Amino acid sequence: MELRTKKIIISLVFWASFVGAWHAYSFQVPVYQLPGPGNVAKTILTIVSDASMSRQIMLSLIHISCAMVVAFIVGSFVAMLPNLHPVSAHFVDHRLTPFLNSFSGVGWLFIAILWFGINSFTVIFAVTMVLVPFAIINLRTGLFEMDAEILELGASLTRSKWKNFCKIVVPMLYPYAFATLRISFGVSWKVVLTAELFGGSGGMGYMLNKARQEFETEIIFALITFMIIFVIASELLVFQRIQKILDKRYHVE
Amino acid sequence: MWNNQVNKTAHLSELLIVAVCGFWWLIAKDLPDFVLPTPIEVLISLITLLTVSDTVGHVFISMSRVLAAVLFAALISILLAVLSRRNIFFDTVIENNILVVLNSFPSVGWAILGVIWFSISDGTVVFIEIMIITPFCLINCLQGFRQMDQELLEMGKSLSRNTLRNFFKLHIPLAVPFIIAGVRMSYGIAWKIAIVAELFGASSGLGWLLQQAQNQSNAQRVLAVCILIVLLFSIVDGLILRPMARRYSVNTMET
Repeated sequence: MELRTKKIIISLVFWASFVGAWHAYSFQVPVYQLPGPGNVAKTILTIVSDASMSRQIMLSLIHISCAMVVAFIVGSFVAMLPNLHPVSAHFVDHRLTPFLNSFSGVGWLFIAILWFGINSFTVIFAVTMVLVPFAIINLRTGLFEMDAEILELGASLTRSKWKNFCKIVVPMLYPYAFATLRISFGVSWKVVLTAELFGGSGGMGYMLNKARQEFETEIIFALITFMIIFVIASELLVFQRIQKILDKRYHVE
Repeated sequence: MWNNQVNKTAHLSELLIVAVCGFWWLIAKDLPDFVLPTPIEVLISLITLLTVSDTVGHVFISMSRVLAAVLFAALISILLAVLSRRNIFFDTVIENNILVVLNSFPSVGWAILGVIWFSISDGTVVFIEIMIITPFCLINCLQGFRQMDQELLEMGKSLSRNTLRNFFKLHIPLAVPFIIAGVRMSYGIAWKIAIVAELFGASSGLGWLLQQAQNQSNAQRVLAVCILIVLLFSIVDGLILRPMARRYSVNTMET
């Protein structure tokens, strides 16, 4: 049997037994502690088909996309700073990035709540601040590992810095830019719910908080399960495919 | 001479920090304290925070929770990584299923579920932190155990039949660089993201302190606690984890 088919069968067996065990165990404990898988599946369907609830999911998606775009722009600006002014290299690599990288996400969130109040802007700001160090680190690595000979070739072919930047530097950064987006996507889903729960006036985190206060555990389980499925699906269907194309184009083994 | 030049730019770089603080002060001086306190006020708040005996207790509690979580996460990851090497069943289940799901699990989800399942206690906080940081550690451990030199393992087998001896004398030393990288990463994530556990499941620790400050709209204290967390992270990372990572790095092993 092919390895791939074998793996798929094993995964199916694993999840079937997992859901079976969950189903059996859910009879032993009260519903508010562990709702059964059938219950959770039904709740997911209700959430997806309900207009106002699926709007909350869309809102979370908007928060994430905005944060990813802003973090990418800010991150690329900071990452390129040392190339424009070499003096800032030490500051960016040894002071700013470690500082941002160890600053607590909850800290940013609470500061944002104090500054901007409870709204979508707070959520986007907090998620952006968590994502920025990831963007800086990835793009800095990309700029650092750039092939110096190709850059020299570009410099000898044209004096226009702008042309060199657009035609050589940017295309060589594609794999790192993609890695940045991929990591940002994973991390932002992890933190966006926290941000919405404390500082948002909408989104899946807000729904989670409401469900938590009303002890609607089915909704909590449904939201978490939906999110996991969504993240895994986008990883498999979108990110892995683009990665394959990039790997082929950039001859990564 | 080159060294001198590097030093010079480094010094100039430090001036940038002063410039950033100056800029911060310039903006903050006309704004009310609860919006943006000046750097001096935050520093004073940090010092008063550190001189109160309570804070030391909170720092100690948070630190022990984080360390316990990192230790357990590392043990679980090593165990799973070893298990995944045994046969294709465990390999598929652990790497293609458990890791993928843990990796996309929202951190606040664990916090809410932890409180529902185990109510509020120290154990709950540690549980939540373990669940949040385990995938980060597991990725590294899996890689470490997968990239082992098969010939070395074969040699070990031909020298001794004792599996335990082979495991401790060969497998673990070969995987150590990856395990340390995983521990270092988990430690960072624990302070950055997993501190959310203390907002739900505890009435002590730095996360709780942060929430208290936020409830009182005390921006100085929020910033002071954040800086305290940055300091705690950097001290342990710089003094213990980074030297260890350098000592056992993959590159030095090869040479």
